[in-house]
Amino acid sequence: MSLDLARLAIVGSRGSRGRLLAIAAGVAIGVAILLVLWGARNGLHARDERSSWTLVWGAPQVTTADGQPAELTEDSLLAYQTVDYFRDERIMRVGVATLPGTTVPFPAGITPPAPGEYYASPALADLIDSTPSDQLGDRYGTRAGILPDEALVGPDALVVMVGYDPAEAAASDNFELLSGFNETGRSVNQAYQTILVIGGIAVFFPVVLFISIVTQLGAAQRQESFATLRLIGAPPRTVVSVAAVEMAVTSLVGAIAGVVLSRLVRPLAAMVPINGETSFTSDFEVSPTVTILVVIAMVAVSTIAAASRIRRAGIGPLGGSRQLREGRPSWLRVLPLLVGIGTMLLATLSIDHTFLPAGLVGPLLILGFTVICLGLVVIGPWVTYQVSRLVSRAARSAEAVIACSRILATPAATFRSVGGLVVAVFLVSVFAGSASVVEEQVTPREAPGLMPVDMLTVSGDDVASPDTIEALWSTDGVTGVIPGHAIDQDSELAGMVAVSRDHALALGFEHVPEAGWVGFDAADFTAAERDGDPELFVVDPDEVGEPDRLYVATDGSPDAIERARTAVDVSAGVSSIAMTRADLADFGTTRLVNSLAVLAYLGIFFAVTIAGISLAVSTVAAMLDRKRVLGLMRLMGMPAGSIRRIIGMEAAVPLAAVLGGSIGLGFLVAWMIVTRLGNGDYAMGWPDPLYFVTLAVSLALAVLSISTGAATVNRNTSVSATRFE
Amino acid sequence: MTSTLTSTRQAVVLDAPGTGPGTPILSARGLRKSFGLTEALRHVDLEVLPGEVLAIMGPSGSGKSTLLHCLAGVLVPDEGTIVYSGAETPVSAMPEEERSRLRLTDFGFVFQFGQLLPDLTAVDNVSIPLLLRGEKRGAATKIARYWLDRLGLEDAHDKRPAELSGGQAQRVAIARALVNNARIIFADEPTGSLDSLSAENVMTILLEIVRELGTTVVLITHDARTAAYADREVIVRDGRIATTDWQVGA
Repeated sequence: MSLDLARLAIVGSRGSRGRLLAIAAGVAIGVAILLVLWGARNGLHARDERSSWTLVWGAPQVTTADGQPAELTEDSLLAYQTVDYFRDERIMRVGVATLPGTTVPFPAGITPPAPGEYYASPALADLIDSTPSDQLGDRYGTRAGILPDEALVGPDALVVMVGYDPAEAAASDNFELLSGFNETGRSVNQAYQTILVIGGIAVFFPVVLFISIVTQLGAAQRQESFATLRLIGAPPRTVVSVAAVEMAVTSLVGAIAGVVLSRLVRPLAAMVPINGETSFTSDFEVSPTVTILVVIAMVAVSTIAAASRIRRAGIGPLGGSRQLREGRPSWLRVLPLLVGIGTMLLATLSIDHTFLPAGLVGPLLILGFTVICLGLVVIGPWVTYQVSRLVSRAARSAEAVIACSRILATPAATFRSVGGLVVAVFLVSVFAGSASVVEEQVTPREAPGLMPVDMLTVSGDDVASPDTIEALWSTDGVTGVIPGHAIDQDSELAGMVAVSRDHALALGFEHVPEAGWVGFDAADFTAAERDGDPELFVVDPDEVGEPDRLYVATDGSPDAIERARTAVDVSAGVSSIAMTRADLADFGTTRLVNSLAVLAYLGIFFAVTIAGISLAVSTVAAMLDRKRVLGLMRLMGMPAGSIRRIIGMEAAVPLAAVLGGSIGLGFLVAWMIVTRLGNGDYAMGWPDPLYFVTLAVSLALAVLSISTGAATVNRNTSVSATRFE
Repeated sequence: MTSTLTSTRQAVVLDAPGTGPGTPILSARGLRKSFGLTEALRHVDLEVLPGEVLAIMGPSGSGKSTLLHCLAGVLVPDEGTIVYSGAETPVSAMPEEERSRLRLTDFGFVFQFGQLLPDLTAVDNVSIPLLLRGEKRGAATKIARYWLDRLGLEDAHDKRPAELSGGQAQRVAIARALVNNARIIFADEPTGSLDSLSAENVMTILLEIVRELGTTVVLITHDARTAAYADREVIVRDGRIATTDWQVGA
């Protein structure tokens, strides 16, 4: 085939430029999403490595041969990690203590902070600088410097490394003696990576369907042109070559545009919080080799698919010879979906019963999810066929008879039009079901027997010292300081907190027993919510021990809460962080589910948008492909309204047939993912109202897309349009 | 106009198939072609002489289009042979690639409708066969313009099929059929979608050029007026050649 012929076939056709543009755009979006997802996968690993030093509990510990505590030396350090709070923000706080001249390498090559000094991440430094010091800065001492990007998860990371006196650190139970900082990533991200891969597949799948739909745009018209080429002497291979070159050039242009697009959206992608933190744009960097491979793969796959489609169509000089009735879809089409569900169930059940190696569960979930997505597309034509058989029996109108006949003759082609939306609704249900876990996180409310929301609590050996209590009383906005006492270990109430009756009333308890001391469960008191009345016990005064915790009442202003928190920190030194009930509820989570929710809503947005576009494109494409048949119907006198109803029914029947099942399946899959994600700790609830809005929007999009296609009926099937057909 | 054209008829004499004043350019023997249970052609013998304009007539469904498609190598008959220009290998025995090449180099086609590529301009439509033969775009365009001009389409070079009248579209199709110096033009109802004036115009131009070039034309038509342009008529009925009308020395 000459280059001139190829050029003429591709760029010489003004009418097909819109079609080629749509194909290129589809490929561009696909490549961009693929590259961003690939970048995110790499970035996640890089983020883990950069921030691994903050994971003190996973760092190599120093022990002696006889198990006795080892001494701090120049080649070791004492360190502890905790989560500090400022307003609703979490601050990762790492305390370190080293001997002068330490040889331990510090993250990003920084000099070890001296006692009373700290390094802050840029975001935290900004926060400290913009906040009165008695609310935040005083907690850490004097700033020694800024933590470089190489030591941070992302630009918004709030991290502080605080220097402590070695003697003070050695005396504290909070510190661990380490030979160095941790250099391996967080294990929690294994689960997160599974979710990210599943989310990636979920977002990418509609894109693949979209590409598949747009690359078939105008296929029937194209086949007529190819038939003409064949008539005037083009051999079959030339026609296949023209189709292949056309697709290769188009998808190459699209893929290159996709690479550019991926670079443009990287800053936006970096703003998506992963595990609660945004990323650096550079985290989404993809190597030139991978980029080139993706471009080549995309061009190769679409070119081979286009060539094979034309070859299979068997276009002869008189037209497509194999545009025959599709075979009746076999019940075997059910199998992939069942295999997918079975695979995911197997992986889920293994979490409780551990009959599979732990490392296999994540990959099995991903595999199962992928097979389910494919299974939905595979089973669609079978379900469509079965439902349309039922509908055709009841069909009475000409429109219904024609629509059902076409669906029965071409169930796969008919389902393909709505396949994108069916998969999208499935994915939306998966995302919404997964996100419903977040809805279960209860925001603490005021109730008798629960710690007031504007109160802080802190526990520790030295925390309730007179100095600390005095410091708190002198803090602006603090309205009360109540010490909680330990109960003697021999008492049957051991582990509970004892307070005086007056203090119990001050803490908000009702129906307090008439006794000098009462006890209560500290965890119940600070829980986010509770069922039933709080239990209070009378405590024998002889069993009341030393105060080991404080309850600090404030005027409820955020400034007062932070001042109180800072006062505790400054006065009590190395101790626990004072927390409100909201902080404690947040502390109990990994924020994993919260960041999952952000991704879930992004996924919903992507899936629905792409599916809507796909449906619009496929409806118009189906109309164009059948322009002649529909035009002939109009020539026969069928009103345009009837043709619109035919087109509507052809989309509505497969959509209605599969939609309910895909919603149910979506929630089943969500349950399995959530179970895996939270190791059974999370329960699914009713989806957010936004889900129902999204579902309604999806259906509205479907109606709009079908209407858009139907609106072109007049133009595409008018007598003047079909005069020369 | 008809009288003018009648006067241009060639003196063609065939005593029996395979004999006569010239060697047949196309010779079909014992053609059979079925589509499922429908027998479209039943033992058809036909010879086409070089330079003659042969009209194939017959009622709808008689098999005349099938006959034309078989003669042109578009369809392969179930039985029988078609020999082109005395070649050793019958057209009917050629593989698809060879038949395609034959259609490209030696045959031209003008059908009732739909044979122009809708996205391409008239010039590009006409230059496609040349490009398929490996001609450079510039040269192909030049030749295409020449043929369009000869067919009176000077103002239509850059128009697309949708912008052309029915008669203009058929003349573009004729230009495309002639651009490769085709030896035989197969025309299936070339004036079927045209009004009588346009039909006459198209047939006049086609006949003028093929007479000048000595190109053979196999023409399918329902219309007796169109058939009157031919040197010879054959009537196909129920898949058989029913009668042959020789326009001898008219």
